Amino acid sequence: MKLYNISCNNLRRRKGKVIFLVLGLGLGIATIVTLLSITESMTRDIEDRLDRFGANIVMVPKSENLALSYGGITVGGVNYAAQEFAEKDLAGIREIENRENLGTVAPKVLGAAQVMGRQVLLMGVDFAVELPLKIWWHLDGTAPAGADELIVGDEAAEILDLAIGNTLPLGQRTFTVAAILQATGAAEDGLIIGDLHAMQEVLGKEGIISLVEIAAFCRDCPITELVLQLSEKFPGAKVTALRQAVMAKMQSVELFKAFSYGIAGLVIFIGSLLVFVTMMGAVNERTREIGIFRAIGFRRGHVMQIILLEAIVVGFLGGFSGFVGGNLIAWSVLPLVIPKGTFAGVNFSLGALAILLSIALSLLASLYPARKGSSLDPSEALRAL
Amino acid sequence: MQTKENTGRHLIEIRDIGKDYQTGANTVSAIRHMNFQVDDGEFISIMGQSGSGKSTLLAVLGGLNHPSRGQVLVDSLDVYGLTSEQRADFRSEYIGIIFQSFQLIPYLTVLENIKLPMAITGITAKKQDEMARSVLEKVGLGAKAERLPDQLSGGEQERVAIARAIVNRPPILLADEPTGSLDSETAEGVMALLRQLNKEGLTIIMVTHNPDACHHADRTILVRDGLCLS
Amino acid sequence: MSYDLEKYREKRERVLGVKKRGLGFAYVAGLVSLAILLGLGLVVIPRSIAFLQNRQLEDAIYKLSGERAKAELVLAELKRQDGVREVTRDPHGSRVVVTFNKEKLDTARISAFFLQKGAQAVLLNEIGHHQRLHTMKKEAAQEIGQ
Repeated sequence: MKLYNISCNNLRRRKGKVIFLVLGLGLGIATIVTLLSITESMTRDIEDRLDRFGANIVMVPKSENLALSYGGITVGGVNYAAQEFAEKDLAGIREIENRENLGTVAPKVLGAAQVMGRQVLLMGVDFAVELPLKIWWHLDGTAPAGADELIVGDEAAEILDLAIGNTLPLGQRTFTVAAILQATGAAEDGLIIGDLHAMQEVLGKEGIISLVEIAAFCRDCPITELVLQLSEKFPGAKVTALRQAVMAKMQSVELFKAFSYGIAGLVIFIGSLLVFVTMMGAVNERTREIGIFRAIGFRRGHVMQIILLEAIVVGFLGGFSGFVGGNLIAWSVLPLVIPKGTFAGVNFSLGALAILLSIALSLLASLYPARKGSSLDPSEALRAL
Repeated sequence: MQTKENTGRHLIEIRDIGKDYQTGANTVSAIRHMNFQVDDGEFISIMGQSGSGKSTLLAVLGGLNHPSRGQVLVDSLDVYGLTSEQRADFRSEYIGIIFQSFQLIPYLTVLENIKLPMAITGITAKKQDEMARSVLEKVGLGAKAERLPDQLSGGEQERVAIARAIVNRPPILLADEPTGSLDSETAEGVMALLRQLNKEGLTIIMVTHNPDACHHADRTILVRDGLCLS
Repeated sequence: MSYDLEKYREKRERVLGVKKRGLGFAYVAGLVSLAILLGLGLVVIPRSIAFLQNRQLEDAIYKLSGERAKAELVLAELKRQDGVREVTRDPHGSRVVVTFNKEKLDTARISAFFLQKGAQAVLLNEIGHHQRLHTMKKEAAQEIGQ
């Protein structure tokens, strides 16, 4: 017989109370684990995107607007410039200081056209540079081999009822659908993608480039610096590192995380209060028992140890069940939070932390009840005998 | 640290003790003035009506209830001069207590109840088991080791309480009305067991209001209104 | 009847010996729990507070050209504008990083301010303050690593 045998036997006897306590603590821990698992999955989702096109830079024409204000009140912006790039100017891209870091330069032309009675967005690209850049594109069919072949986005193909091998008249020319782009969940799904110069001709934008995508050679090269040098070179362009755009999303994840911590703190406080109240009640109920322990020679520390060991067991069970429950909830609600998002997986260090936190809370909430129980004067406790 | 030369060499010396309780503005004396000694190996019965102060006296003797005045010396230790933790150790080392109405822990089996005082001694599990089973045999309950207290009769519960009190081999056994809730036949069996333990060297102080139980004791101290009469 | 004082010597010594048993557990348990909670709090709370305090800050990076002394005057005046937290030159010297509160100001108004003051400024990039600091730290670490 050791003190922990007494604790375990008592917990077994008071199953209802233990379940109640474990549920209270477990709920708190599950809330934290759910919120943190979701933010982790969101972060993972963003990191995936960074991995995909983290080294890419997009250059689009700047649309300047001037803020108008009367007496300090902004009344809106006035657009006064929105120009596209001239194809011949793009050579300047390779003249910046860090040009050795530049990889592929993929110019594109964009424009709307009437196709089979519907307004569709056309994109002209240089397939030779575009396809190696878009490693996440999956094509049904073969990559276009000539200027008269097209790739049709999944959504566009469905709307226009197009299949591989179909022909499609655009402007004065007729094109063949060489491949259907499998759904990406992004804007490409609604596009018809063709050869750059053929699309410039269809759209009447010869020599015009709407946007340029630039892939940097290295993953860790100074993208921010590249962006600034390109901006300096092309004052009329808005240059954005896709990493920057993706990282901007991180801001909302961070906000969600901060909010989660707040909620978690509150839930944990309530959980601790529950443990405190229940343990106080248990100590009062056990006055007689504590009297017997003290009478047969248990020190105050021994009585505290019995109560605190119970708190450790309850804390562990609460932490463990909360961790399991939290992961289950996160796994089941994640598709609602991030469409097409994948569950980041079970994070065992978070599990260890959750269990430690639960034990620490249970212990701290039980310290005063344990102290109160152990300080019972044996003669007072014996009066209850 | 409180040791005093025990000049008379008595195991227990009660010196001018008194115990008062404050009830509102009034002071009630449960023990007014008591002075007596108990020798090693004696079987003493303390007899008196209810409210005479005999249970309070037992609690004072067991280091459970601080007297308002006087001294309790056990094996030359001034029990109430010890710190609270030393007093807990004193109870563990010197005292076995049989409570009125047994006071067994309901969620522990008979064997576990008996092992309870050993939970804080550092004795190995195997040794604990041997010691507990040995005392259980001694009180005649060897076959009921795994029962819960509420599955036992009153007499059996009393025997478990005795086994728990003696398992740590304390030199002194304090018994509060050990036969109070038993029929005469069972009570007689319990008294015979106590007598047997006394013969083996245990000093027993038994509180009772039953004159028949006193016949088993070497000496009887009569208590009335918080005073020792004899 | 007297008794031998030696008989219970061991028991007496155990009672009088100051051997701590049990009490330490509560202290250790309490201290460890407190350390865990404070540790977690110290990691989480300041970071969340710093994030919440800085989340409305945005950095606009401008390229300034023209007379340097005049530019300095304009920048000094910009610093005094409501909503501008900080105006710093980046390591290249010709670029200026304007840290501003995006709830009070936007790049259009900052550009308009430069235009009004006759300073030649081109907006190169606009980025979250928190994010820029993070990226700069990361890139600096990578440079050191290389």
